[in-house]
Amino acid sequence: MRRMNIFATAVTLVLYAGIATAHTGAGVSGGFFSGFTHPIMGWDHVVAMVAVGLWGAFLGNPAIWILPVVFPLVMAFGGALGVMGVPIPAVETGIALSAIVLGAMVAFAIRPPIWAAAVIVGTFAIFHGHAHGTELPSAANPLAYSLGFVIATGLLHLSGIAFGVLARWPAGKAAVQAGGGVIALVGVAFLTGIV
Amino acid sequence: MSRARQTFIVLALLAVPGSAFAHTAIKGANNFFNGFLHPVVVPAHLLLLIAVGLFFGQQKLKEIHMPLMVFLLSTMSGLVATTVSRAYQVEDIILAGAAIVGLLIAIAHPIKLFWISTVGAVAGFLLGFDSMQDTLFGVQKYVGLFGSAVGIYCFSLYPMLIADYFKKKPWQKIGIRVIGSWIAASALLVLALSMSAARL
Repeated sequence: MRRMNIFATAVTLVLYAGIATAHTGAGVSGGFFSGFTHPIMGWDHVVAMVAVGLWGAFLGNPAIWILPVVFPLVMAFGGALGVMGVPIPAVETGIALSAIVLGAMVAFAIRPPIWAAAVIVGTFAIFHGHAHGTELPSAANPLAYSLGFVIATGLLHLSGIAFGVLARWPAGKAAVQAGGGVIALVGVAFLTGIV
Repeated sequence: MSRARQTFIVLALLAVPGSAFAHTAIKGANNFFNGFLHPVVVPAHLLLLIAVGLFFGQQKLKEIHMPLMVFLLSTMSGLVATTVSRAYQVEDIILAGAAIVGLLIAIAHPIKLFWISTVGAVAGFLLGFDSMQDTLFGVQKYVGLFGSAVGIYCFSLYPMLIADYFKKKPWQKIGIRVIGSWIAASALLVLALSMSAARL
């Protein structure tokens, strides 16, 4: 009888368990979520995106807004190449190189003309876009997916800009340059396969 | 089994039923509300609406009444056109429109009133023409189409007011331009996907 009571109580408690409705991974919300998390979950994307914002803020106006505007537009071009199956050689190497080059630009306080900075950032944006674009056809909702990853990319730029604004102060400038150095080293780690 | 235990079991089982998910916003909605919500439940429409609204909001508010009127009239023309013709592949054109308007927002170059009105006319017609209510007939259809007209117009006003409000400081203008570049990038990507799918 006692075992019966325990069993009945256990069955009753099991019935209390609600259904898990956190997210379904389908439809517009699922597409947006998977797109939004795609750049954030990949550290190679994260460091490069932060570096773009960091460099933009370090260079000051107008680079602070031109680079984050150029990047998603050229990234879309790279994404379109990925979607259409146009191969780009060494995409992962290009992504790792983007962290190294952009991080080094900040670390060594290199200040090229704005058009040159835009070309450098745009070139690397093609690699990042291609990597995102190849995932697009399998997304639950392609438009929501693309919106998600473009917005996530922009927010990563913003976090880089927020940190880069510290460069207005002498101590902050050293911190920003050190941040660029760390990003470049992380890029080296990606390129050599350490991480 | 004692009465207390029976009561406990009954109460326990009564507590088990889960939440009642009666209906989604659309299924329970009437024809007007269905039409009203149509632009926000179709991602491509929403993207173009936000783009047009931000684009209008970037302009001088005093000059924008004409493009707004053109936008409303062309939306209604597009909705009326759905009663005599059927839209095919309009969503791709809507995405292309969103990409162009997104680029215009990102560039933020001064544009003549005629071209602002032209953007409003084309965007309004496309949104209206792709909002057909092919499951409704008679008066219900017109109620749904009227709902779409109201929805398209109302939902374009929000981004317009946001863009107008956020143009007092340089960083606010930059923020709107960045959003424009996001819209253009997203639209271009999905357009590429659509074109590659059509090619296969």
